[in-house]
Amino acid sequence: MIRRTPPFPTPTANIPRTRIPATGLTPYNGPWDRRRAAHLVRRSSFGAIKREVDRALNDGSATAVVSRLIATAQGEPLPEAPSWYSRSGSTGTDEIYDLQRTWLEAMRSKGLIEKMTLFWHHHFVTQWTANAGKADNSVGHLTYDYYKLLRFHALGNFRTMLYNVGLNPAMLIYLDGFVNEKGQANENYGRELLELFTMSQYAPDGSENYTEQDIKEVARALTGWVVTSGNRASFDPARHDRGTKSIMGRSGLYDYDGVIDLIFEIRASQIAHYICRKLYCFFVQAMPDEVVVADLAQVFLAHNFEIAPVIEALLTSAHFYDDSFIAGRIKSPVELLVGFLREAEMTPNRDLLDNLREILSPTALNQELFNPPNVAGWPGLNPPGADGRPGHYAWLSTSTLPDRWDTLERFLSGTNGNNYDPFALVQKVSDPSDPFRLPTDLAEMMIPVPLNEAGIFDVEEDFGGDPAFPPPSEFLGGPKHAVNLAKILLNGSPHYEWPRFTDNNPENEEDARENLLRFLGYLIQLPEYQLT
Amino acid sequence: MPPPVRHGSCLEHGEAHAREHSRWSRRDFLARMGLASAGFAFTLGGVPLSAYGRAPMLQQLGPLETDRVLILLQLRGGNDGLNTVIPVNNSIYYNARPTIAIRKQDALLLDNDTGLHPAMQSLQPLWNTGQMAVVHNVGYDRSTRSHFEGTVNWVTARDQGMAVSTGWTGRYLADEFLIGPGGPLEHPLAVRVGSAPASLFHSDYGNLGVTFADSQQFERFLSQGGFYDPDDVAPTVYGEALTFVRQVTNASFCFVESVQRAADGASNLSAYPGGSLAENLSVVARLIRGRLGARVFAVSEGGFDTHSNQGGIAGSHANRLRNVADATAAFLADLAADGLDRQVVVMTFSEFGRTLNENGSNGTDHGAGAPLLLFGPGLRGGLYGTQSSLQSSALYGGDPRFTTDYRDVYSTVLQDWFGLPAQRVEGILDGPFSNLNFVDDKIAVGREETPAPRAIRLDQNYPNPFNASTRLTYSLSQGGPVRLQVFDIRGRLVQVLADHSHVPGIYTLDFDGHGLPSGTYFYRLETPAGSLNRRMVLVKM
Repeated sequence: MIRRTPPFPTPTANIPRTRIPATGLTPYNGPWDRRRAAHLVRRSSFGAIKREVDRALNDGSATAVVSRLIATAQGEPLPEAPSWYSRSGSTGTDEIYDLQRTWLEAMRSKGLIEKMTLFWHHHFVTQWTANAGKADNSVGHLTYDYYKLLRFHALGNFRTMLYNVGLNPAMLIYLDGFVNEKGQANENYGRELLELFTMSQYAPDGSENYTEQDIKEVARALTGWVVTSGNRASFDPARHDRGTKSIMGRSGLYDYDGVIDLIFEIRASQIAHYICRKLYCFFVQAMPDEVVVADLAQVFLAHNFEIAPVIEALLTSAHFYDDSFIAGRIKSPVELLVGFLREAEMTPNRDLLDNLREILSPTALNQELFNPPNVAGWPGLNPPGADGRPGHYAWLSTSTLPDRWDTLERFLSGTNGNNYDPFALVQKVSDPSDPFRLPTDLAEMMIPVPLNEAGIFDVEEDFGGDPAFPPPSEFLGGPKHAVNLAKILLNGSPHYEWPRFTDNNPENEEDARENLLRFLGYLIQLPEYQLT
Repeated sequence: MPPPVRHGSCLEHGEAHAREHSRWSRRDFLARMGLASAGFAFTLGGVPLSAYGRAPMLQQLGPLETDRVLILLQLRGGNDGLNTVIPVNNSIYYNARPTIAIRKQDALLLDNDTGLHPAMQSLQPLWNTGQMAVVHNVGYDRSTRSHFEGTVNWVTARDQGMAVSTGWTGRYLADEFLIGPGGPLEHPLAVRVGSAPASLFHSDYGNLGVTFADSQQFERFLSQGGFYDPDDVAPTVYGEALTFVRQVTNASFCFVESVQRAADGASNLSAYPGGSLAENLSVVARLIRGRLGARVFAVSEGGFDTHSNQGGIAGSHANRLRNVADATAAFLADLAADGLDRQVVVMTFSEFGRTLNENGSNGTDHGAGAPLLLFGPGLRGGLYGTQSSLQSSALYGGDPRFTTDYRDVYSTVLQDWFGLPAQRVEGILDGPFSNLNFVDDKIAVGREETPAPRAIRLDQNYPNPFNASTRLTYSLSQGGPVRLQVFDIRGRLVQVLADHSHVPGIYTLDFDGHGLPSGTYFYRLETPAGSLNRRMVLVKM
């Protein structure tokens, strides 16, 4: 019996654009240059694809770009349901793989809205491997509904999203809400609601946000929800504990709505702080700047937990554009792979998407979509734990780094189910006929660290070819890294034999193509390429 | 033009290479890799170690205690145990499998009640000489018959449904080689050749193995890049991240190089049959002969998910079994040529066994318990555990319910083959398990290695975090111009603490943060032998 249907409201139409004055969040007023525009593109989406960096630069200021990105993201229509969704009945791994492929492709083509959705998936974890077979419900349907919910609210209102997530069938099953009933309270969701989804155990000042007894009482208040065979949440009053509950010093006849109302009434600032700290690490760097986090939390509170104003304040702040933080994060596997597809101008077919999804599995790069390692999400995206170690270090080991190289190499060589031609890329990025400018243009797009600080190897050998025809002296007298990059691209062949691509069927085209692939292979193997 | 070579990348670039290698003391390795759960702080050295959780254990690092090797051979897909080790006198078996059962007269008899699939003929000499052990009907409780969960169970050795991210071999390797006394660790502790599960080698200290997909690929990595200087970075947040990535890059190269060196330094002494498993095992043999020092290798053979037309004495299942038998026999014969087989135990595992009944397409579906095979002259050959009676009371959803817990096998290997005390085995497997007593040779061989000193050192400041003032210590093994500077989080110079010529020795300076805002600061030591950055936190009360 359905007593209440969870609301699925539309995001607030008029998001206030006024910013709360805050010392940690002074707006960026410095020059709007390529390095900063590329930083914004990388962090707000996946990889610094050239045309998007050009467009961001063209917009003229961080504020203009961020407004556009948020408006575009909020205007993106919801994804269409997959073809199998209309069929009832059980689904399994094939449907999950389909969702994973579709999401990867959406990240590649849609940017910010999907990056936000990825953040919320990391925050409000469900694992398809845990949900498969746990109830009679079809895991494909559960997972799609869950994804759509996160996607819908990704730049909406956090409180509304939280409310809906708790009544989402995938979450009800994953954290045992569906078996939480009067007299046999299951604490699983109640605990994570407080510890991981809203406030964490301790407030910024070190005080305790809640006790073990509070968790038990919250669990009682949340009793009564079940999941129907049609994959919908339903409230069964007979399973609900109607008694008085004492939560965080208050008592009352709390139910699901009552708990959400209560925590936002008496722990709002703790919630704002906890969520903003996670957002900070996701967008800026692994070690939270507590002053900036506190200011972000003020923005969150002032806008009644609307998400977009927080993102806007952060991505337009001087702090965000500080030189120190550009390239200061290790790419997550999804950022690496989707970013690479974009930077390399690679349009994936189904086989390639299947390869992507497989290499993300827990036994390889370990960021399988819809399957984080546990309810706390991916360690690589979280703020540091008690040991103080930066979270993003968790992404790289002597096993995952060679796997990263290997995967990208296979994309380049076309053995990953695709057929890759590097000319499509170089024509968009640079003058393909210019072997001096081309390598530096490519490196500047793909390597976020200033090239004069990158560990580009010093090629001792001279340029190939007849010494009577050396490269232009102004080039040889220019930056050392540019000279080295050109030597790496040419790989010993004379610069004057590099083809002119304005000709039809230029000579040496095949050699040049091979050199280009080798050059891209060199760039993706530079340690600097692991940074974003 | 020869492949471009970066300074320090290859062996002939002696000095830089030696400098890089001199850093590879095991403790450094752990710390640099961020593997020590003591955390980033520990990497900075010098601080009172008791200040950090696990650090005191790392302090007692000591020599390797064994040259023994375990080869894990995964039969991917769920091997049909009943057609591998056959209950030749059991009519239930024959009634359940009218077309695919192996007749007694066709089987290689291990005893009067037990036969081996005839495709595994090449194992006969091993069986005859006591180098082959069969553990009947091994498995785990509450099987869901999922490939994924089956693999996770075998790899992690934890109960169904428990979330564990470390592999049992990873836990063993961490316990034996990282949390004990030790010298330099310049090689991977485990090597995966082909497509065995990488998570086997996950430990709390990170992944202890190296993925070795294709040796050519890594040769190219070496020729194109090689070692990167982890300390030559700007004192910024991105510089710090870059330091870490360069360290992992170097470690990957180091590992790969050690693998390459071992593989190049030895050859196979006898012939192998065709097929990828045999090829992978021939690589393993070279790595063992080349003294790589890895303790665990993982290889696999696929195609055991025989839902249709699996065949009987001939067919797809027979072909897979033949590959496994022929490759294993060739591998042990190769190693036996110079006595290395005595260091080796080969152990098979598979997600689950298959259904007792054959299905409508002359195949079998996902089942439960299945036999596990072990090979090596260090074993006490024979049959262990109990064959399923196949009576309905002995079945789980219609298929053989396991009679030996798979962790009994792991426990026996860890205790008797690797010589781990029972208490530590319990820690690794999360509980006591029975000893099956199939290991005959219980002697371990010791060896020693010593760490090399470093040319410059920059210790972690103390105290840290600090309220207004803290002490910085650095040491130099060579004299020359030295500069010590403090930068804020954004890389702006805050103060120059030293900028003059030094003689070798240990130096201590106090840094006064009065007048500076709370926050993170970097301090950077620059010397002719290289530069080092550290991070410190000023907290004003």
